[in-house]
Amino acid sequence: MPNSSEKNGPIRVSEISIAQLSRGLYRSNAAAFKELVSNAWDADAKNVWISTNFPEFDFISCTDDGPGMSLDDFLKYFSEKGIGYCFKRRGNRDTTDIYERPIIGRLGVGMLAIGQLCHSFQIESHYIDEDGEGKAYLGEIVLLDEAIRDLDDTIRREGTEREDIEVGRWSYNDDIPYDESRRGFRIFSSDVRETFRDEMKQGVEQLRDRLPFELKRLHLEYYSKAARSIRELGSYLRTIWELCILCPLPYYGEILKYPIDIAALTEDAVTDEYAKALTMISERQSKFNNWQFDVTFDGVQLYRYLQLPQGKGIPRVFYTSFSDTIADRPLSFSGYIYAQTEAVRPLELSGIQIRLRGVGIGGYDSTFLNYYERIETIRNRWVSGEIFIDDGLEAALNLDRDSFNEHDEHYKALQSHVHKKLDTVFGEIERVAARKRRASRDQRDKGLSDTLQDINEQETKGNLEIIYSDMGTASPLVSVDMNNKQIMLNTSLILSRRKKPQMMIRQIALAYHIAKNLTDTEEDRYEVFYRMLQKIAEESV
Amino acid sequence: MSNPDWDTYYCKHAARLHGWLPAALEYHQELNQAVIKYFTLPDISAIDIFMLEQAGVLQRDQNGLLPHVVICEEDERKVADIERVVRPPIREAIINARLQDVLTFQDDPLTLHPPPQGWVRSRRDRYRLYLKQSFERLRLFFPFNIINFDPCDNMLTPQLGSNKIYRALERIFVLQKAITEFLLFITTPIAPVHAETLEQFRRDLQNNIESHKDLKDSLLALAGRLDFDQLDEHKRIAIGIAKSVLIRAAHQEGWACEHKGIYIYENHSGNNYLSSVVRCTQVGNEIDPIAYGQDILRIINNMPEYYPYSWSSTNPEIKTHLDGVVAFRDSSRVIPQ
Repeated sequence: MPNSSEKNGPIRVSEISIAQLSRGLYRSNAAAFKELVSNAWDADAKNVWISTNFPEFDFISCTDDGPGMSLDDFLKYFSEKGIGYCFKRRGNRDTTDIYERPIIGRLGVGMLAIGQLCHSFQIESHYIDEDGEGKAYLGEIVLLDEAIRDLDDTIRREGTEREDIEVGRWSYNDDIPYDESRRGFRIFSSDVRETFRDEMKQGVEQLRDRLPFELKRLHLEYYSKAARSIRELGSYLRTIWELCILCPLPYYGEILKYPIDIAALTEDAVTDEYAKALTMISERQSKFNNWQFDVTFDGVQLYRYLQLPQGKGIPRVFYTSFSDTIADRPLSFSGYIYAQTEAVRPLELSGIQIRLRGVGIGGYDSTFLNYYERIETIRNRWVSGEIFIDDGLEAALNLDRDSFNEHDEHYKALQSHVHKKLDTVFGEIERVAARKRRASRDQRDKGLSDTLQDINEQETKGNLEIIYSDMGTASPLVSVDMNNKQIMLNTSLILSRRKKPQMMIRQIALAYHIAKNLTDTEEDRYEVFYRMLQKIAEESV
Repeated sequence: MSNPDWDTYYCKHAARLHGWLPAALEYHQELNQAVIKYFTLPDISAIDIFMLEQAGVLQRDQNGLLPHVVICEEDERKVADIERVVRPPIREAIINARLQDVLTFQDDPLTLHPPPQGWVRSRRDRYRLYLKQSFERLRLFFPFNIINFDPCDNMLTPQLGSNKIYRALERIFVLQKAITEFLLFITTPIAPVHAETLEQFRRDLQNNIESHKDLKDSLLALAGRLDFDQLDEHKRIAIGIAKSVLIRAAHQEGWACEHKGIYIYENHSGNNYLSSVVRCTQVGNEIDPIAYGQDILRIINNMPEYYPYSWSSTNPEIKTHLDGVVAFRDSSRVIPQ
């Protein structure tokens, strides 16, 4: 313990690269909040509440009901050892003590995620110390102030020693009484960055009177109605949606309906692969439920809300799994890949998401881990999958916990396996799509033929026979032989390379000649012709 | 942050139950309007908000939000707790600032010309800009139908003009001018009262006695003689706060006051608090001396009500009512997902 009279000091870091962390390294607000959620998860908290003081976003807080952070650890983190100090995995700890959750943090940088959103923040912790006594303190971290030298100036200054790098100041007050009702850890700030506020406020003013703060209603009224992308909905709604897919949360709803609604699958979609995928999903869901972790954002309880199939696309579900030793380390994972014959909405769901220790590492990767076979085609958007890593891959994780080192051996093995599976997935879904297209075309062609017949029946009382004949390209498209009561359509003439326009031209030509040959006056001709045109137009839709 | 447990703070609830609630119900009925705009400093239990919601004075919209409730909270440590309790979001973001600081905000060169991108190195300067934003936001919410002015700090200091809470009260009367009438709950600790303050109270009452025969007669009837010091201590303070603090601030801005009740309650530590329930009406320059005199007479004759701790903490009506509000709050906070 430091001298109790010394209650403030500079936050020093051992490396300039780590100093950059105080400036923020997370690509989105949700990614920054996710780090705080991950800390709560690692601390065995049951509940995490994030609030943003909607709709002003001038106060943010993240509160959990875990065991809190001791003053010793606070000082070790900000003063003695410095940022980057992480004790979570010491002694080969891989799971948390109470709920046996896979520990997420390993680099000791997550807490500074809030530094991306604000210039200073406070910490309040109520905890039980090693002697069983209730203790509490209020800490303050200031990252931007007149007294704190700018990092760039520090780097440029000659003779800068590593221990001179100061990225902020800490202070604490431990003269606050322990309160059992406040046991846990909270981090909060009213010194919020204007850039964060401005971004979150965009579009909120129009929404605020209508915004339901329930996840299912948000999906029904907003997320499912986004034409293409969640981005259309503005930063606030996007942050909630992203948090749902990044945080270690269970699926919303009953397992036979979410994420994949078994009742909505056609019989041919219920394959062995689907059965394995469903078993895997059920097992994962069970684990998440056993880990007992709730996250609430501005009163909205978050879940991984996925509802597949969507629209009228024909669905298919695939299962994938892997277990082997790669580069002397075990790697194992399993997951599902869902595909349907139309785009999965929103856009952000198309791709593959990797979940490591329960958390999403970035969103869904729409490149499918750089799948070379498919580069930005329409089919890419038909596929959405999740891969759960059970062992390995951690060394490939980048500092932002949002992306991977793509040259890491484990990443390469994962990539290779997933790509092989995608060959099957895309192959199958294209076959299904082709069958669907053929069936639609046949249906359409039949419809068009029926229309021609209807026109004939209606206007000529079936007295004229329609004959399709190959009469050579020199002959006209339509010939009428009233003596033999025949209308001949010349199939040698190709007026369009596409079948539907071809059929329509034939129908219109037929309609013209019927009108011309069956009527005596110009007026009657127009009437009959336009009547037939109307029928052709209606049938073509 | 040391707080009483508001869920069992029956002493204050006595004032709410006997004073705030009936006045709010009466006012709500008179207005015959569905929506009441309410400004409050509710602390983390938000008892007043749920009491008024339970009574139908405050109503949630179709999304479960309280659309016209504005909350101010000084302690950052409580902001997130309040949000959670009032079933977030409240619709209007909480104003995280000391009430008297935000209401008495005055511009300086920095706040008059803030940097264009909003980036300021100094933390102190950032706070000033934040305070300005908070003030601008709060100002736009005015006027309110009901204001719960409960800033915790003592407003009974000598030289009221330099007391920030008093100046905040004055500002409220200025900001409320777009409305003709509103209800004000005003709460302050009253122990100890500075001797200079008491002296001010005495002088102000004496001046009134000289010009109001009714006051003089009533005082004589009550105390036997025209001696401020012979009045019951609670009555002295009640009259003093009414006249020298509240009515003084109100009249300055053209508001007349009608005291619906004054309640003094003792808490578990033996400290006394005063809570007034006042109907304020905008009259401009036409302060009616008769109405004013009648108000003071009412106070002299009928107020305050005093609730010792031993009484309020064991009173079944108060306990039952507060427990009911807490139960209502806790059951209404569960949002079906």
